[in-house]
Amino acid sequence: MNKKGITTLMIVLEIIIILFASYSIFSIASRYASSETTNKIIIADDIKMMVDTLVGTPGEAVVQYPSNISKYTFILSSSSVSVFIKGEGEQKKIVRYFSLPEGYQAFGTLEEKDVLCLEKEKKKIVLKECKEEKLST
Amino acid sequence: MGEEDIFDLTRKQIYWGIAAFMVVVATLLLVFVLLPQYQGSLVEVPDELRAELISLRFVNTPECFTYQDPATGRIFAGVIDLQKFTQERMDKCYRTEPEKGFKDFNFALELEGHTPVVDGQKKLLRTNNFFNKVDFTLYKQVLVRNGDRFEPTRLVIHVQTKI
Repeated sequence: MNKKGITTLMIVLEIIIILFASYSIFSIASRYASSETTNKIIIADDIKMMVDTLVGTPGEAVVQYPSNISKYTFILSSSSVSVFIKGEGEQKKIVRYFSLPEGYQAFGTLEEKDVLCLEKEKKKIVLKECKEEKLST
Repeated sequence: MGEEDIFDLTRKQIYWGIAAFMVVVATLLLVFVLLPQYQGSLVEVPDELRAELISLRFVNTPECFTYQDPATGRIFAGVIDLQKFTQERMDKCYRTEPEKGFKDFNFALELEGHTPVVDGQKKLLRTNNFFNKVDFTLYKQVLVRNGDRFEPTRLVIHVQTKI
């Protein structure tokens, strides 16, 4: 057997393995970055912060979520917000908890709509689909 | 097969054995450590921002400490009603879960010039899971309504992010 040939073959094989491993790592990382789980976490965190902001806003206010959220379903309660894709398992649901001052209520559901609004009316925070006339006034 | 060939074969087997082990370790590290860390960095929100948004209620919400004119119902954002600035009110304003709430944001409030001193220590208003582990402090310029007077001062918000 030609020893030099075997050594060259081994080096080529190692380079191929390293390239394959690098490609796999980058493709897995980019899939993670654009994964539904990541999006759900970002949206749930944003809604939690929107609720905190509305609680700290005197008077009445409406906030529209600034991106398309038509893939997701939302449930808002007085202690948490849940974001999930209809039909997927309970373990894939992303839940974020918050604390409201006594007397405040938060509620609402939204299923696969393009735009989401959070509306504060006195001591109620309601999650619903945006209505044009509310936003323009 | 000569002695040198046998040695070569064994050496390659050891090499590929070590290489396979390293690949398995690298894969496990990637799946269980690096990717979750990477995902965490993608969704990270600065603690200061979260705390700032939660603490808006302390100065803007009449159900917390903000002064509200009883006659007109007008809310004076940024004005603290000294009569409302009590521990009882704090408990109603922001409350974390009794058992696991230490993992959440907790606060201790000090209204400069208006915080009573008991046994040489300032008596701060604390949320139910605040255990004196201050991670950072926020300051807000406010007015205090004391009787009929409005006095400028600072609300000091000590933030405990997680224990």
